[in-house]
Amino acid sequence: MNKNRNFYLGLVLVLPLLASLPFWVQSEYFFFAAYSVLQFVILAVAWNILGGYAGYVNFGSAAFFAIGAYSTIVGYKLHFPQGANILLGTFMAGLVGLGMGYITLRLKGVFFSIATLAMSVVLLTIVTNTPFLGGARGVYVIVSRESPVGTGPYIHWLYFLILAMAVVSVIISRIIEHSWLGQGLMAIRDDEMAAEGLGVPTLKLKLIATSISGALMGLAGTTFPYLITYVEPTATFNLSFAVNSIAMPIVGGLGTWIGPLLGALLLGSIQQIASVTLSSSWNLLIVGGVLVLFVTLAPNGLVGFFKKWSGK
Amino acid sequence: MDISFDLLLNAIFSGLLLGGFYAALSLGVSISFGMLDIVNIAHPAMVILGAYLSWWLNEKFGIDPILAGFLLGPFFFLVGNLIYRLYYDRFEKGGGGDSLRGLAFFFGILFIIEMILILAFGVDYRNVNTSYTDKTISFGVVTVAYRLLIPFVISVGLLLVIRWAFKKTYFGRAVSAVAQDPLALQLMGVNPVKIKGYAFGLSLFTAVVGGAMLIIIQSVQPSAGREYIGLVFAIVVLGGMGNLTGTLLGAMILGVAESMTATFAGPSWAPAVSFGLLLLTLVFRPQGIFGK
Amino acid sequence: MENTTQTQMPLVKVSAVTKKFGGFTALSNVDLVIAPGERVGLIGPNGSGKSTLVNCISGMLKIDGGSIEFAGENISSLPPHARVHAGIARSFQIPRPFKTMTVFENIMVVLNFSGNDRKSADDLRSTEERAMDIVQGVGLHSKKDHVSASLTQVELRKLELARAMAANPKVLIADEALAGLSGAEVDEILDLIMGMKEKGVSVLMIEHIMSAVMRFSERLVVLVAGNKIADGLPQDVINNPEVIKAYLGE
Repeated sequence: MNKNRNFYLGLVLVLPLLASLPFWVQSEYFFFAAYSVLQFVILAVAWNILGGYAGYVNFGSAAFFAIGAYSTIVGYKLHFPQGANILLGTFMAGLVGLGMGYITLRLKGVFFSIATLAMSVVLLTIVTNTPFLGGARGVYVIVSRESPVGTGPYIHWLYFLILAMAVVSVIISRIIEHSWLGQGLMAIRDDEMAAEGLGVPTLKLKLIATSISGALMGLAGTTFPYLITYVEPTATFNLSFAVNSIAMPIVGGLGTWIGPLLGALLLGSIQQIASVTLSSSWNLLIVGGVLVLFVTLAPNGLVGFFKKWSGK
Repeated sequence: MDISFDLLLNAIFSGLLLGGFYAALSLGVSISFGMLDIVNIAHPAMVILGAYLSWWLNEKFGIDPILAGFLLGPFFFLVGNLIYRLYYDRFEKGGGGDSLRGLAFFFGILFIIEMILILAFGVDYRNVNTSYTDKTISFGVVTVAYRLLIPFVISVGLLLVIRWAFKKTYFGRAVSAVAQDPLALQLMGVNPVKIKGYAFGLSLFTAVVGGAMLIIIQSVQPSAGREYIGLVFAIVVLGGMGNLTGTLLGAMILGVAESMTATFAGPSWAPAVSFGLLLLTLVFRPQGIFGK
Repeated sequence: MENTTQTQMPLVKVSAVTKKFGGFTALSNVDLVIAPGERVGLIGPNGSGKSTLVNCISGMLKIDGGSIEFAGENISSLPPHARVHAGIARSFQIPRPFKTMTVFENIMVVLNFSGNDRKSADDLRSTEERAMDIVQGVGLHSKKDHVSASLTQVELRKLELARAMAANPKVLIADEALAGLSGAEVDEILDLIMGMKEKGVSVLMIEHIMSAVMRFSERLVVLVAGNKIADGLPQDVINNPEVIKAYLGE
C-alpha cells in the first residue's frame, strides 16, 4: 500500500538523521530537552490507543509511567542489567493495564475515568509507604558518566534509548490503527452497544487496548530513573503526566497515530522553552490553557485543522 | 496495638466533624455531577481558590474568612453561570455524548487555577488565625476544636438549607426536574439551560464557602485541590448521585474512615482511604450505598 | 430451502423467560419459538415488553428466569457478540451507526467481526466485495462513502438493516425498523426485510404498523404487560377477543 510505503520510507530517512544528532549537536541540554519531548511522544501515543481509538479516557497515565520507573528501581536493586529492567517495566505495566481493565472496564464513560484516577492514587500511596521502593524518601540510582556507545556523556545513550522507544510506539500505534483491532476499537468508540450487538467482542478488545496502552506508558518510564538518578513518588506520579498525556492527543488530533505525535512535539517543546525562559509553574499553566483552548475551539486538533484547510 | 477508648472516641468524633465539612465540599459536585451530569473535576481547585481569596480578604481587610466566603459567594455564582453557558455552548448543544471534551475542559481549568494561584501567592502554605482557631471545647472525654466544630455546623446547615430549597422552592424543583427530564421542563416553558446555569453557579457558590471553611480547618497550598478530587467524587458516588442526604451520610462515613486510618495507621495512608473507597464503590456498587 | 415441518428443531426457543427491573416485572414466563426461515411478527401495546424481549434474546439483558436456546444450545449466559457469532443479529429501533465511519466502513466492521468463518464455504468473494453487495442490496450504493452521520432517516434505517444482514445471521430481529417512516419508505424497508426469507433467514419483526405486520407475518405473537396472550396465524390472532381488548382498551 502506498501509505505504508510512504511511512516507512519517511522513517528510514528521518531516523538516521535523528540518531546522528549526538555526533554534531554540542549542547548537552538539548538532549535532556529532547528526551523529555520524546518521553511525551510515547505517553501521548500510548494514551491515544485507549483514549483516541476506543474513547476511554485514562486519568492514570502517571501510574503506568511510575510502574515502569519503579520496576527499574526493583531491577536495579537486584542488579539486573538495563535491558532486563526495560523489559520488566514494560511487562509489569502491561499486566497492571490488563488488571485495571478487568476492574474498571465495566464502568462507562466518566466513571471509568474517575476509577483510573482512583487507582493511580492508591498505587501512589502504596509506593510511598513501601520502604523497599524508597518510600517517600526516594531511591538513588547510580549511572555511569559516559555513554556505553562511544561518543560522549550518558545522556546520549538515554537519548538513543528513548528515541528507539518512541519509534517503536509510533509504529505499534500505526499498525493497530490500520488493523482489525483499531477498527474494532473505533467501533467501540462510536457506539459500544451497537458494536457489541453486531459481533465485536468489546470487552476483549478493550482489555487488549488497556494492556498495550499501559505497557507503552510503562516503557516510557523504564529509563526515567537513569535520567533523574533520584526517584521519589511525587516526581514520578506527577499529575502533569496525566494532563499532558490527555492534552497532547487532543491538541494534535485524537484517534490517529500522528495526532499525539504532533501534539507531543508541539506541547512538549513549548513546555521545555517555557520552563527555561519562565518557570516550571508557567509550564502547566500553558498546558492547561492550551488544552482548554483546543477543546473549546479546535476539538479535532491540529490534524483536524489540517484536514479542513486542505479541503477534505 | 494498645487502642485506648478515648483515642478511638476522639478519632470518631473528629471524623464525623470532618465528614460534615467534606459534605460541604462535595455538595457542589453532587449538584454539578450528580444532577447535571457535568464532570467538574476542577471543583476542588475552585475550593482552594476560594480558600486563598478568603485568606487574602482576611489578611488585607481583617474580615473573618467564613464571612469572606459568603461575600465572595455571589461572585462565584455569576462566574459559575457563565462557565456553564460556555460549557453548554461548546459541549452539550451539539448533542452531548462526548464527555471527553467536557472532562478535558475542566482538567485544563484545574491546572490553570492551580498555576495562577502559584504565580499569585507562591507555593508556601497559608493559614489564618481568627479568635477561635485555637480554642477547644470538651464534652466529657471528647475534646473538639472550634475550628472543626464551626465549619461542621455551617456545612450541615448549608446542606440542609439547599436540600430544603430543592424540595420546596420553584427554582429547586426545576433543577431536580431538569436532571431527570429536560424535555418536559422545556414543554412547561422553562429554559433548561438557564436553570442549569443557575444550578452550576450554586455549585460554585458552595465551593467558595467550602474553601473559606477549609482555610479555618487547615493550611492550604495551591495544589491541595488534587487530594480532594478522589474524596469529593467518592462521596458523591457513595451517597448516590444527586442525593444530598446521601452525600452527607457518605461524607461522614468517609470522614470517620479517614480519621481512623490517620490515627491508627498513619496519615500517609489517608489518600488511599478515599480513593480506595471510591474505587471499591465504582466497581461493586456504582449506584452508591444510598442510591437506587 | 426445504420446508419440513414438525421434525425440524426450532431455531430460537425462548422458554418461560422472566425479566424484572427492581420490583417491576417486564416479562413474565414468556415462551416463543422461531423456526428456520419463518417470519414472525411481534406486536403489543407500548410498554408491553417487546423491546425487553428483544434485548434478552440478543443478550443485552440478562434474564431472571427461564432459558433461551439457539439451534439447540443454551445461550442464556452468552454475551451479545457471541450470540451474533452463533447467528442472531438485531437492528436497533433508533439507528446506531458508527458515526465517524462511512456506510461502507460500517458494513466492513461487521463483516470483519462476525468472522469470515460465517460465510458459506463456496463464497469466494473478498470481504470488500461482500460489503459492496450488501450496500447495493439495500440501495445505498450512491452513499457508500458518505459518513453515516450525514444520512437521512430512511438511509439510516437501511444501513441499520444492512449491518445486521452483514452479520450473516440465521435469525434477524428487526426492532421497529419502520417507525416514523412514510408510506413509500415503509414499503422499501419492508421489501428488504421480507427478502430475507429467500436467503433462508428467519425474521422476528417487532412493529406497530398493522398493515406491514399483516403483510409480513406468517405467524403473529402478541405481548401485553409482559405476558404472551396470543400466538398463531395472523388472521386468528387479530380476531382473538383478548387481543382486541388489549388494543382497544377496556
